[in-house]
Amino acid sequence: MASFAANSDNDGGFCAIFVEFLDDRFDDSKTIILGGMFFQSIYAQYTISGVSAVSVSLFENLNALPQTYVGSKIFAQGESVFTVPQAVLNTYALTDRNGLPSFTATVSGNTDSNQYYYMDF
Amino acid sequence: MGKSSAIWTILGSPAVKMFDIYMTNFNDWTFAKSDYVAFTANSVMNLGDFSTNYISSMAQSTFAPSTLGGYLFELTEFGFGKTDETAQTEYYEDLKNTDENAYGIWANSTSLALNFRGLGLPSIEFKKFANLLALVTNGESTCVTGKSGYCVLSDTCDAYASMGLWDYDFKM
Repeated sequence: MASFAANSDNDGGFCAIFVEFLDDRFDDSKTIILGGMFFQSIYAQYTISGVSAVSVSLFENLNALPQTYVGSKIFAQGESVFTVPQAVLNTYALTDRNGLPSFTATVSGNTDSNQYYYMDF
Repeated sequence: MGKSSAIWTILGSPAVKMFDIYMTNFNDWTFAKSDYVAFTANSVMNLGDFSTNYISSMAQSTFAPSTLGGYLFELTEFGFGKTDETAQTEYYEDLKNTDENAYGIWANSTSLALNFRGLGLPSIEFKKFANLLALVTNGESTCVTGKSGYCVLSDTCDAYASMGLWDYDFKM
């Protein structure tokens, strides 16, 4: 992932992830393209022999981050690493508003006695 | 760097034409690993021979285009996720361009292209990646689903090391 990431100095700085959209109305954009940044992690050897027999050998680039791996190791499938954050809101039993349930909200760390909040779902 | 490139004439028209792509790190991976130091300072292409830094006993994966004279490589797996070396487990969401109706003969293929910047994903897979990235960044990512679109995070890259974003990778 870090192969395709870079800091941008624009607008105070942000992290650009150069995983890029390919418009599949164009034929060359229907394949997955491994572009220049990929080769920061992977070293490639090309051999062309005969009329047009091409072979490519990929190695872990000696400049790569430690977790880069070239090989056939397969681990058992673990639990999903894409869990959706959930917040459980219990309805407040003592009140409702026009028939809709209401919720109590508490916020810690604020000493203002006249605080109010907008909640944006 | 095809077989018809003039460079091979300059090099004496060898029967077996060899070149390599050996890049250094240019986007400064200290954001992912604070003590990161690049092994080599420059990016090079060796013509007619390979870098001596890599030897045949090193782990490697060798493959060829799916058609003679073609440039597409067949993909059997392409996913985004994470490997847990300690627990010896892995979890990857499929991002392979499998839809033959949408992609035709380009389905299940990849290409290597130095004239492209990052990782190009066809529209279906790009949208799926955008959703996955939003999950692992707690919604801080924005991905533009349009021509030249890519993803950005609201803070600098080092801010995402503590949430483990750089432990995520692509597997193929």
